[in-house]
Order: sequence, then structure tokens, then C-alpha cells
Amino acid sequence: MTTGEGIRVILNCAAVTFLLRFGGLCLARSLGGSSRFRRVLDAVPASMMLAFTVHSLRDFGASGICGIVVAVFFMKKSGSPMAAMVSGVAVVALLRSFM
Amino acid sequence: MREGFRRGIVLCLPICVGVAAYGGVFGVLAAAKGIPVSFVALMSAFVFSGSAQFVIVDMWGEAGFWAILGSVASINMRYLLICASVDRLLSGMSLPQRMLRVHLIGDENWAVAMAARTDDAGKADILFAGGLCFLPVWLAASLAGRLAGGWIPSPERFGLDFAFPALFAALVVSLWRGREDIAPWIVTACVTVAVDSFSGGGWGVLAGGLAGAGFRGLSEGVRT
Repeated sequence: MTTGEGIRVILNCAAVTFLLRFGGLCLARSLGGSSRFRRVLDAVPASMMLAFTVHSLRDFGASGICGIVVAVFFMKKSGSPMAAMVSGVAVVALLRSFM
Repeated sequence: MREGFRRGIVLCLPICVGVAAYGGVFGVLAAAKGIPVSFVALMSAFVFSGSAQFVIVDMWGEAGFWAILGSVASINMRYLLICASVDRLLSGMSLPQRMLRVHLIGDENWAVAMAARTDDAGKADILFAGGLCFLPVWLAASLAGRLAGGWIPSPERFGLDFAFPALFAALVVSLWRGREDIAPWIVTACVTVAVDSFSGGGWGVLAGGLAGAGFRGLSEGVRT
């Protein structure tokens, strides 16, 4: 890939990403008057985060499932996302060292 | 410094370890593909989307312009929903302020902000502070990885690539509102798995997130 082609690819990818981000704001503005749409938007954070978690299990397999279970357990016990994250990472690292 | 901004920095600084590890891996992969340092910097500053940048590097030199652009669009389609959900937080800001803030929105600072127990202004500050923490760390780590090439040890050995899934799982727990969440969350999980099984990219996340949120929003509408 030449320098010109590389720059063209990167800048266009940056533009597409920015348009999708800003497009989200415009979408909310254009449909924001609807209470039904507002309720859907309010449910987006939990739903998207759960979708991220489920999606990542495909890549991490059994060690990922164990890591998620431990992270959820620590979150319930401590209420600290950081403690939960560290415990999940530790479990995955430990399991990988044995697998 | 505003309280929300300070809180955002405190909440997001520990996550910078994961961001740095992820950025380092990205830089190493870019080095393996022979992508120039200047291109890595350009990508990390202006695309600022980890998953999309991995796809660009993966396809670099092998796929055509439109194939790369289409893949990036499909991976980042989730930002439509993510940014729609923060519109309320950014209302009242000028256009340049909103443009800067949406560029700084990543999965991680968005998740932390939305899960924080504070008002909309506080969430907006956390979102912005997180972006200001993550962008320089991501940029520096990707450049370090690119320059170090194969000399840095694999972060996967230490499970650092699992930091974000673990964080998201923990934040999902904090967003649990009660038994009425059971059905929408089952819908989210099932749709994500189903779409992931026959498509690549980020379609599973987008479809699952949209299906669960749609189900929740519409079922609440039926009850009220």
C-alpha cells in the first residue's frame, strides 16, 4: 500500500467512525420526542454491555466463562468494578497457565 | 476541577492498564504488518477505536479500500446506539464541544459513565474525563508497541486481554434493576449468540444490544 493509499484508508475510516458516533446524537435528536424511543435508549447501556460480554465469551471460551463468573461474584460481594475486573483477569491468567 | 471530572479520572485511571496493554498489542501487530509509525499515530488519534483498528491492521495490504471501510463501519455501527444513549448528557453543549466529546467516546469510558450513580452532568464529566485519560494512553501504548515490535512480552499471558470483558460483566451487574430485567437480558444474550454464529464483525453486539433494549423499552410501554 502506498503512502497516499494508506492515508486515504485511515482518514476515511476515521471519518466513518466519527459519522457513526455523531450520527448517534442526531438519531437521538430526531427520534427523541418519542417516549417509547426514550425508554429504548435508557435500556441501551445494560443491553449493550451484556452483548459485549456474551460476544467476548466466543473468543475466550471456558477460561472466559470462569473469569466472568468470578468477576460477577466479586462485583456482587464488593460492589467494586475494579476488584471484579482484577479478579476476572487473574482467573483467566491462572487458567491459561495450566491449559 | 469539577467533582464529576475528578471522579471520572479516579474511575478510569485503573482501566488505563488494560487500555495500555491493548494498545501495545495493536502496535506490535502493526509492526508485524510493516505499517509506518506515523500511520499508527494517525489511526490511534483519529479513528480511536480499538476493535476497528485491529480490523484495519488485519486487512492492511490484503483487502481493498471499500472492504476495509465496510468492515470498519460494521464494527463501529454500535456507536450509533452508544452515542444515541448519551445525547441527553451532552444537551446544552455547543456543537464543537459535542463533536469533541463524541470523538472521545469509547466502549470503556461510556460503560463506566453510564453505570455511575450520579446525575446527567456528572455522567457527562466522567465520560469526558475517561476519554481524556484513554486517548493519550492508547496513542502512547500503540506507538510503544509499534516501536518495540516483537520485544514486548505477550499481554495475553497475563490475561490482560480479558480486562474489558471482565469490566463489562461487572458493570452489567451494577445496572441490574430487578426481575423485569430477566427477559430483556435473555433476549440480548440469545440474539448476540445467534447473530455471532453466522456473521463476523460487531453485528452480534449491535443486534443483541438493540434487541434487548428494544424488548425492554417496548415491554415497559405495554405495562404503563
